[in-house]
Amino acid sequence: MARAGRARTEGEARQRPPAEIVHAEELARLTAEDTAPRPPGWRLSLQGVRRFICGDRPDAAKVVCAPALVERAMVTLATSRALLLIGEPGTAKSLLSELLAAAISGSSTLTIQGGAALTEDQIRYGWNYALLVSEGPSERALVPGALHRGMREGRLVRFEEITRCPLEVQDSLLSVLSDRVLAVPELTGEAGMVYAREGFNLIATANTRDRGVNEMSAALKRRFGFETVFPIADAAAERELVRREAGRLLARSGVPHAPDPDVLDLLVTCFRELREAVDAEGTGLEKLSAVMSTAEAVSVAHAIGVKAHFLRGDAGRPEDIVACLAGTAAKDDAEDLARLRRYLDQRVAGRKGEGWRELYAARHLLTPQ
Amino acid sequence: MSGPAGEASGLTVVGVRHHSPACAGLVRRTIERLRLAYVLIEGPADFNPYLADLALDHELPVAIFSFRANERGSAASYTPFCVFSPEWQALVSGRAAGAEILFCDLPAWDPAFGERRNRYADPHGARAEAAERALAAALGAEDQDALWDALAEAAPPAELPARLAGYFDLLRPPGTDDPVEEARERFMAAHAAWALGEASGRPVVLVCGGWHADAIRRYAGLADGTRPEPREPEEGLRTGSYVVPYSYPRLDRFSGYSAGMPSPGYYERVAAGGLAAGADWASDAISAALRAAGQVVSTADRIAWAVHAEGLARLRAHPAVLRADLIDGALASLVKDALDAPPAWTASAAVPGHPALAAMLQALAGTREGRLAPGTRRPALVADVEERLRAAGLEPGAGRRRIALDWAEAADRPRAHLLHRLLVLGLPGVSRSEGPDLAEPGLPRESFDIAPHPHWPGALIEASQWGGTLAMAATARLAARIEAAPDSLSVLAGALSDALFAGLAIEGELLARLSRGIAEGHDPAGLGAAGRRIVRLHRFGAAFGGAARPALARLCLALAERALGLVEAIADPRASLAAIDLMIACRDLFRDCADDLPGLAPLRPPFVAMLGRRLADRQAPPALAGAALGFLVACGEAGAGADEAARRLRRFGLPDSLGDFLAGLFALAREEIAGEPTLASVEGLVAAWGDEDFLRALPSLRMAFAWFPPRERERIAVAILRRSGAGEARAEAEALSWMRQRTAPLDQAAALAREARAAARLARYGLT
Repeated sequence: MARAGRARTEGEARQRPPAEIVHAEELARLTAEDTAPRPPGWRLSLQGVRRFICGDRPDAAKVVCAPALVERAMVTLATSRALLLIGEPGTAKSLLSELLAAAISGSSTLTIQGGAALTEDQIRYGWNYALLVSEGPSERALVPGALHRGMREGRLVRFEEITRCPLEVQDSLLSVLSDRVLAVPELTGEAGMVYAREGFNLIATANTRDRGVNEMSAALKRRFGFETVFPIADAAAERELVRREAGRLLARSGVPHAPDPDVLDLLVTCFRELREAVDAEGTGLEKLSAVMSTAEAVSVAHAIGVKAHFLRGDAGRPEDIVACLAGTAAKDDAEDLARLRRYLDQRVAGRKGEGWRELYAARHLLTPQ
Repeated sequence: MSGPAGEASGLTVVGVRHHSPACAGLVRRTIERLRLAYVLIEGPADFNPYLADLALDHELPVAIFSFRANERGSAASYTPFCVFSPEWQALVSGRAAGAEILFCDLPAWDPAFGERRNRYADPHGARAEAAERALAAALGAEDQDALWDALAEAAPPAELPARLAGYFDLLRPPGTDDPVEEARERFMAAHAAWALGEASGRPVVLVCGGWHADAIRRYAGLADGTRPEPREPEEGLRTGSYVVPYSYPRLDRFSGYSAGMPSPGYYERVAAGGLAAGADWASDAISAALRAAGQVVSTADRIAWAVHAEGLARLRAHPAVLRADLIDGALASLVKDALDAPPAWTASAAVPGHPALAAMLQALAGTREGRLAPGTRRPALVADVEERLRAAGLEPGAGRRRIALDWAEAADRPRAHLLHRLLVLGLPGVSRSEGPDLAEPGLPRESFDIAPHPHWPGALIEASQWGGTLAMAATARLAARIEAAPDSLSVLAGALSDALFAGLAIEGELLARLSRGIAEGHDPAGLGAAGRRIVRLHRFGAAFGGAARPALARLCLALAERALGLVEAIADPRASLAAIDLMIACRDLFRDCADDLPGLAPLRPPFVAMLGRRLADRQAPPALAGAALGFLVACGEAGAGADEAARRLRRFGLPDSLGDFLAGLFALAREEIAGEPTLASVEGLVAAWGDEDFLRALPSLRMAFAWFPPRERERIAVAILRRSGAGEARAEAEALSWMRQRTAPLDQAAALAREARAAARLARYGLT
């Protein structure tokens, strides 16, 4: 009792608990109900994983994407090829990989964060140098990396932003993915070879905006199944998602009320139009170089809610969108700022509705931040 | 399937999805089970007298091609059949069972079809679509096609009727009327009621789209039992229906129409050997297509693909690997790239998101082309064309042959007319390889290529929608072209030219539209292009027969009159460049056609005076001033010669205007003016400019000298080199290298400009 109580307090104090903790009850229920055959090393059957991620009803899905994409991703993982989720930033690639890992392995924390400074021993294993010097290479002195642990324990390993890593680091995955074995030449005996247990596999994510920065080698590509994740196609689904997520974030920030639905509607419409470079009537717009992702929309909605509640005590106004757009959409690109200004001046100007008029009236707030 | 009342009354309505192998099997089994009196099929009732055409030994796919045409235009539609079409299986097994077979739907020309191009394009309202989406989501299928495969193609035969009934009831709840389709449904139902009366107790089967099935059952009970006759087509409407060859790519929805089953190549194998055989064929076909496109599909890839597809099929609880599993598996294991858009078969949307996907879908469509059996009934046009080609000795032989024609030969003109008419109809296998686009002075010479083409028979039958004889069909086709763009001068002038070359009667309507278009034209470019064409046609003189000449003369005069007003008003530099063609047309008229056109003489003094004004006008755009000067020089007007040209040149000799001015001048009077003195003064002007000025003027100068053919440009280069002191031999060698530059001159100019900037910067920091 006491332990459970403490765990809950800890969970509540965490900024962002991992999926397997947030959805612990549901996972336990699904595991109990799951009767379908499970691939070796999996906590749930494929059907169970699909139920966990896509929900029983379309509106209960934890991530908005085509069910076929989830199915293909699962089958790729079950046929022991690694999975690469690729797409624009902010399309919930990482969320999808986290959910898959939580459902399949029961934990999503074996994560490698890719980056220019990532080195091979952060992925595979390193050493506790004090022990290494005093005892020589031993299992006690070895500090296992995520890959080492995933292989030894038969769990899914997540590799975020794999194309941000130098090529030689990427290629250190080659032998692991094809032979499923990791050699530790410093150790002798059984510890010198880590054979992957059933259940081990790799989910990598990559950003199409980074395409060409560190292009994967053909050999590595061959060991991955590629899945492209797209921005949410359905406007209503995206609005609902932004509402839900922004509400959750606001509650955590201590804002008692949900974001204003009209403001949210305007925000999502602006984001969709700027992202797809087409307005509601089908007229073309100039495409921004910044990414207008759903995740970005959620964080703008969050920022608006926080600002409105703590500074003014209301639920947000259309003018707040303009102020935030300068910081998110235009970031540091003067061209984008000019495009955004033209969008407000030319497209928003003639629109009917109180919200659009207020948005237009607030266009002077669009200044570089 | 059929409601209890239906079975009891002897009527079995089989609602199908068009081109579905599962439904084809159901139809075949139903017909074999019952001892039938009648098989009624959704198809054009006016084709019933010709059903024997469909019983011939065709290679499928074929289609019934139906057209309606009147003097305003024509429209066509298709009723396609492949081996695994339920309708085709109804025909085949109905014949085998000795039943009487009839098409029972309205004729294709009936207004109930509207503009529909395909009889078997199922109507789908927004409600039905929503219902289908909901069902697909509930069953975990990605789209309509995946849903259908899981529901029907993979169904055990015994369960199929119940599943189909449930599916179609969901799309269109029983008891609802569809106002758009009601006329057709009542017509089919009346056929059913009549057939029941005739059958004296033996069963009747009606095969139709599942959308209609319930309504037909209901309406059949209400019909009075007389045989429905299609209405007579309205007065002046020409109609017809013929069997034509069809092809799988046309059937496939990505390149063809919006309804029915996709991937006919794949479903043909499914119909013949089952789902497993279909999947095997598809994986071979897709691998071959990708490899042919240069993609690597290794054996390891194929193994991964097969495993993936099998895994998806099991996850989705499919009894076998279905089309969606195959493509999804290929997508996951063969495509090693990010997609640009969500893949097409998951979004019911237009384009596949990746070239490899497009290649896969194309491979699944197959390439089968239908072929008609000998002795199939053919429309009158086919015989007419064949007879005329034989009489003119122009039949396509075994291979490609080239036919040279000279309009000066009296015997060649009818042959030219004939070939041009075939061109107007757009028939495959006939092309014009040489001949004036804009007729040159003197009589034209042309050459044509004729080659046997696999699509020729079908295209010729389909061309009969335009008329029963070649002349009629070509005339109607041209009329339709005009109807589609009644205000476009270029379309009108093109139609006039085609009609004259094809020896067709020129319609008063076309001439009236053209004169109106010329008189009201505001766009100098459009007027110029059409004008040049008309003037050239006029200069062919008698080639087009006596009737065409006065008409062309009237158009030429109208053009000169319009140019008089329009050129006076041009003030914009861009419009003045666009007006150059118009000025050329006028120059040709006033210089070369004055003798044939008595009406032109009174227009000449005002035209010359107007050009004089524009030339003197300091605000006139340089290109227009150049063209005006060129016109005066070319037409030998007093006071306009090389000296005048040199004087004007100096006025326009600034970097911003010289190129445009010369473009106008050279376009109109290249031959008269391009002597040494003019070029020497141009050279003198350019030499005085700084590098920056020169680079700025370069693009427009290049445009001006583009009016010279390469040989003349080389001559000019030699002259320039000689003036700068080069010897004869060196000048020629150097000029040759100028003419054959490896790097584009504008790139060289950009490089020069950059170099100059770098030098200036170095100088600023004292680094030189």
